[in-house]
Amino acid sequence: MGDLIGPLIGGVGLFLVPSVVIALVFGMLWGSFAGAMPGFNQTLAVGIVLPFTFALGPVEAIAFLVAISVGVSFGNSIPAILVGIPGTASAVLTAIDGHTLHKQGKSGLALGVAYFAAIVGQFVSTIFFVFMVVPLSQLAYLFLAPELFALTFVGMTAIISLTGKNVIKGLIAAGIGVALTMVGPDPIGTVQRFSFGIPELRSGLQIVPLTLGLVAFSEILRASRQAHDWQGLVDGFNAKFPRWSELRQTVPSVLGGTVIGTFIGAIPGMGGTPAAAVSYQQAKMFSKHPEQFGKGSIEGVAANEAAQNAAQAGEMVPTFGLGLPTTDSMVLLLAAMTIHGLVPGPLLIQETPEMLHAAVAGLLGGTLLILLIGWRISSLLLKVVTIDRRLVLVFAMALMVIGVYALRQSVFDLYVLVGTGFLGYFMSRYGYSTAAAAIAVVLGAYSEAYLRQGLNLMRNDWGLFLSRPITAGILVVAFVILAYGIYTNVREGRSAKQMVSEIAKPNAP
Amino acid sequence: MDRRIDVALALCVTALGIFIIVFAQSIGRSPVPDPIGPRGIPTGLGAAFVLGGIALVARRVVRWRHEGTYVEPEGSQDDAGVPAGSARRALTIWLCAAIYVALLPVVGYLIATPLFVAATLRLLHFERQPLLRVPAIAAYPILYTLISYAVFATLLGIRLPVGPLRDVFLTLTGR
Repeated sequence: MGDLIGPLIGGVGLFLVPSVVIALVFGMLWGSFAGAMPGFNQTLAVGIVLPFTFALGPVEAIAFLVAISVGVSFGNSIPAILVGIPGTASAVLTAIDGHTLHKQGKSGLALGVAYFAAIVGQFVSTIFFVFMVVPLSQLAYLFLAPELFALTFVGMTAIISLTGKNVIKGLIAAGIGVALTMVGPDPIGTVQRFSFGIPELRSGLQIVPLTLGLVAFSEILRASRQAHDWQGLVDGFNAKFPRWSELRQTVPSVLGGTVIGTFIGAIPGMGGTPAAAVSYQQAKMFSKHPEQFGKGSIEGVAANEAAQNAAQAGEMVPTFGLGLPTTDSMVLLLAAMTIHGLVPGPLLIQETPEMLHAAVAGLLGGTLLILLIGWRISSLLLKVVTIDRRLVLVFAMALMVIGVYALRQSVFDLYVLVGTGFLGYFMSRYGYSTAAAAIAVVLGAYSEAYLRQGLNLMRNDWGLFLSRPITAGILVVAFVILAYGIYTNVREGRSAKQMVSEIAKPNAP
Repeated sequence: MDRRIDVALALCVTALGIFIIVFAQSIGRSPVPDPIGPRGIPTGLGAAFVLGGIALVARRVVRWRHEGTYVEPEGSQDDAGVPAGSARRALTIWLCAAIYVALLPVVGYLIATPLFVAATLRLLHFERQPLLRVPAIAAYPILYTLISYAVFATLLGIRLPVGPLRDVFLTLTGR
């Protein structure tokens, strides 16, 4: 039990460190600000400030980035309720019920329920996070190179199979990520590969510009297709916090959403949006008033908000426990760790327990700050919607450039950022998952090293390598997930084809 | 989703696979022998790209007669309910970013940044009231550049490229 309580105490203990508190305050405020801005997702919120974390210590950097995630999940509900525009995709269902409540003159009730659900969801899921991640990390010493290879393999296949509409494109996207890690010295004999005599390529491509380019810079390019803002849509509000008797009705939905959010968030490729959707459906199923869902249900708002907030902690379970990022924002979190010389993997928590403390501090500190100032800053966050989105996009792009330059003062890294941004734009538009590519960038280099080291360890015998029970078990899981992905792709393809033929039938001569 | 671009991208994947396989053969031998070696993963990956690319092209070609030019999208979509521009704007902004990066070491941060910010704002049809009598398209880029320079160069101590302003800085700082 001490192993489980220790990280919680360690995280709370960081509240006594002024630099961590400052990082938490800025992280939560920036996250809430970014979350409140429609079209500005968590990846962008983390991506823009990621290079700046080089100026922080590793503990402050992780606490800061985690607090941003907490802030985004809270902030995105405010424009969803008051304007009907979800700050991020996970707040879509909040927008439906919450905005209906706002139009019925119940803005305070909707905002209060969202605020209550966010705090409970974040707080309870932090405890779940610790109780799940600590036992997982204790398995670390069972893992040798073959098992570590299998883990990186399952990390890549899971996100491909569970997220994309086309498994082949998902596999190619992950392959592109692995290919980018092949530039420079090979991980065993340090033989140069694909460096073409270019001095900057001899040490390989840096993870931060690669991942930022693939998931964040490309997203800004995609967003720049739409030059618009939401000025004029926003009017002021004067909401009163709801009474406990009103909030009490939402407790089952909040708790259900928290559990669902944490567990679905922990599945690679899932994250807050599917967690919120499943939680909403579950709440509707068990509600005494299912007819109100979609027409201004406070239970709907509560279930959605609790789940999308709890998913933050869920996403961090495989990220911290096994070194497997499950979403693109988690890839950026691991990339931030590499800036500080940390190696993502199952040994992360065992070797640097302060990283777990920092994550707990980020989750709990962010939640505490929402509890203290979240309600007061709601009206301020509403004003964020009126900030010209075009200015934000351009400044975000310029900040990303200067941030990446600041890391090593290398113009070459900027070419990598802009180049992978271009690549990522086409990949994301045409169904090649940039998240899978970014995850492969982080895991790819380690994956090859583990495979070859593992084979050396097993006297170059594939049979010995593959027959290790844990390795075999993990690889079987990976192939089952891959087979499931292919099966769902084929099934969806067939049903789409059937739908097209049915639509075409009446027009047939 | 334009199926012609989809096919072109699949062909690019195939070409990338061939490129990787060809160049993998020129990778040297490792001093630490192992059954995979430094060429193994690139060669395997290249082959997978070739097969994957061909499979994607074949899938489109088989359905070519039954599908229109625009097929069901498989990638990320534009925000619903808001008019979307063409890919040209996104690519022009990307080009601006590439030129900005190329100019940065030549003309320096203080000159390249406001030009980049102003150009991209212009591309996004940014229009606002003048700020302190300075037109918005100039005021915001200058303000951003000065603030970001102050934060990075002064507070964080990052040496940003100054380009032709080097002599001015040397005179001002006496170094």
